[in-house]
Amino acid sequence: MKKNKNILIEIIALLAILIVGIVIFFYKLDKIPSGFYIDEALPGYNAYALLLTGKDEFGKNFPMFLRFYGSYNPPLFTYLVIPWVASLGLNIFAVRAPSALAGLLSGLVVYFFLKNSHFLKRKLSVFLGAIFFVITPWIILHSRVGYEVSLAFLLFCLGCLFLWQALTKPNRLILATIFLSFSTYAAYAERFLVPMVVVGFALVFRKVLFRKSNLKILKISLLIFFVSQIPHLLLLTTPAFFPKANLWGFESSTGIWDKFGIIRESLSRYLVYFSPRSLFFLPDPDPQRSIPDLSVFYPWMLVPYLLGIYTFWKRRNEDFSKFVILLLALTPIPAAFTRDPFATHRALPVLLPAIVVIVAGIDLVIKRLKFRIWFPLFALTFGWSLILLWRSYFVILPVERARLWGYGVSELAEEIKQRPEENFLIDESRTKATYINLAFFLKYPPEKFQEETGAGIKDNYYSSLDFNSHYQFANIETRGITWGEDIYKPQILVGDELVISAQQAKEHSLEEVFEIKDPMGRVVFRGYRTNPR
Amino acid sequence: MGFKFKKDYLGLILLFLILFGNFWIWKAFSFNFPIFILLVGASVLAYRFIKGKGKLLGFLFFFVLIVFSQWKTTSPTSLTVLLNDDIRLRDQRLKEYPPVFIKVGSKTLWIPVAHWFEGRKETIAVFRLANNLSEVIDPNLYFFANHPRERVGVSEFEKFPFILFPFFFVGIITTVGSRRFRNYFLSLVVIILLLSLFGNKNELGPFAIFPYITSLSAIGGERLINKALHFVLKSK
Repeated sequence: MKKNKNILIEIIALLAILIVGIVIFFYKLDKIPSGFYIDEALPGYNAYALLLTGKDEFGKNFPMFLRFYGSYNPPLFTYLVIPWVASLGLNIFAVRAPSALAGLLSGLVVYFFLKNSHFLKRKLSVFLGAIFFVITPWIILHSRVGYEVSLAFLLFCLGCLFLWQALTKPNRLILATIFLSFSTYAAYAERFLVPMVVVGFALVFRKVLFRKSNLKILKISLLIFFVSQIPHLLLLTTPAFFPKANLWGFESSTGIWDKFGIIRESLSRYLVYFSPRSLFFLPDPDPQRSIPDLSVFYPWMLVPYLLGIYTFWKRRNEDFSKFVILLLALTPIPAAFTRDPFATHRALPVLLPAIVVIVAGIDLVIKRLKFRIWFPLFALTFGWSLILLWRSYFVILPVERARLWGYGVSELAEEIKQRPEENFLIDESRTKATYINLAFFLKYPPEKFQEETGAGIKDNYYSSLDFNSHYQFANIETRGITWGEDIYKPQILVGDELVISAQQAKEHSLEEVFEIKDPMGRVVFRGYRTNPR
Repeated sequence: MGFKFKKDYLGLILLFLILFGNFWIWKAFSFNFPIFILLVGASVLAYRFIKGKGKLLGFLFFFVLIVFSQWKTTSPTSLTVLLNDDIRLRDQRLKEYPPVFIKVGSKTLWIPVAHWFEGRKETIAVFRLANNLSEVIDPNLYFFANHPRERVGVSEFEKFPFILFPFFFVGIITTVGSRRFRNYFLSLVVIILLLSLFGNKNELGPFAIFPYITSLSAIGGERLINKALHFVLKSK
């Protein structure tokens, strides 16, 4: 009877998490963030190309890394977008949905991770932890976008859940191996993080793992890991394996960086992922990767975070504490060694141990305070968090950050569609590359795109790091405007208000054809017809 | 029983090294000599208090003096007054909100959410308090001159050598839970809250925190070194 009641309560709790999660992760998914970023258009159009032709935008058959613009992204997310594009068509929702779903599912994984920890004193803390997780700005921002980090995070969380369970049920080591290995095909950070976590786990829990009775499972897991890593091993020596070496923070040491300086630099970057200012008050410094006025956690979470750190320190001899401290120590490393001061997309794996620490703090509060105090307290903070989220994410972000998210390219595609007889020259001296967004919104046939743009890259696919923004397909050309030549050809020049000023237009007798503004009323694109005569 | 230095020599040596081996105290020395004396005295008393030797009254005396000097030397910044740029942003944001209303029968009740969030002085004050608080509790401010997230328009300077951070961390984590240090940490919380209230726009930054960092780093360092020595001697 009691068991049935517990199951019922658990089902209700999971349903509540799912309902809150579905609303937050899927509400206006195709509209917010407004616009469509190049990093979303790349997997979107490549999934479309792979679906229709079995080849990516350059004509490469099912590549192991996707070259994109020389970034050689791990392929899993793009391949996962294919069924969504097949069933929903090529649109923004189809590209963002798998990522949003991954974010939602990671809420459930966090629930089971907390439940299986047997660390929390109150069962309710598990539910509170998962519900606060699904409204955390960090996971929401990186799930409601069409790129890979939330998928990698989901796989990483699953891997960690099974890794933890493997201490009592050794068979789970096989599942842990599969998910952790898969996560390395989803995002860069996991490619470097997973080996560290595996080695760290093996060292910390060596007495349990290397028992005689576990050796067979260990051997099978190792074999699975090795086999599943063969694609990586095959490409290990190609430039495609480590294309973002330029992001490595210390490669350009020029004498100023003495050894002491390097230690200080790396420690400061590492410590920033534990800093209350960065975690609870300041957004990611890159406005495209952040929510206005909102950090990765809500400010009130600082209190349970500090209490949680204290709890884990006090109970540091327990296995779960060791595991969480290990994750806390290792997860910021891949992000800390890049140049960005606080890269929330690369540091997304930090979210797992950080939320566990916060939940441990919440658990302590519930344990110490009476129901009539903590219940209204958490109800209030939950409501306050939702209001802050609504203000920053659903009101301010779609207006103020539209331009950064590639707003206006779909409107530009519409203008191009209306004028199939005219040629368009799109200036890219001041904007991010738009070629792939245009191919996406125009649903340009992939076989034609491959034919017109893929030459030269297909044959040296895994070593063509350099990106050239000059593209020519259909009636579109993307590059910087050469004023001495381009005004003498009959075409439409497209750029923002700084690229083509009103004075320049008058001087060169250009005729304004269209104007596209962002939600703040700023000009994103202006099209001018040349007048060669 | 673990290995331990005789008496408190190690702790005192560490306190001396930390107290005079940082950049902040010498900046205080050149900026304002009485503050320098105050910080040295408060640090020694804070350390003795943690060690169970100092009197709460003496510590509180220095505490009040430090808070007073911090307040007197800090340029007052309003929590509610908006500058031109803030006004532009506020006006822009007021336009971004959708109309929020509740319909009861034929009556429409308009809710001025935009004004509550962007226009009301209380909200502006809360955001600024949170910002001030975040600056004061950031370990990177004290050990890395706020690197890699330096503030715009603030000339950041090195305060403590970064190698002291592990000492400070161990010091704080090993003492924070004990009832014995309740008053000590309570005074730290009060200082942090006061600094959030009147900011730290000051040539020396939030120097009222200084005695806490030095005393906790000395305590943490002592524990770490004792542990390390104990480990080394045990393995021999």
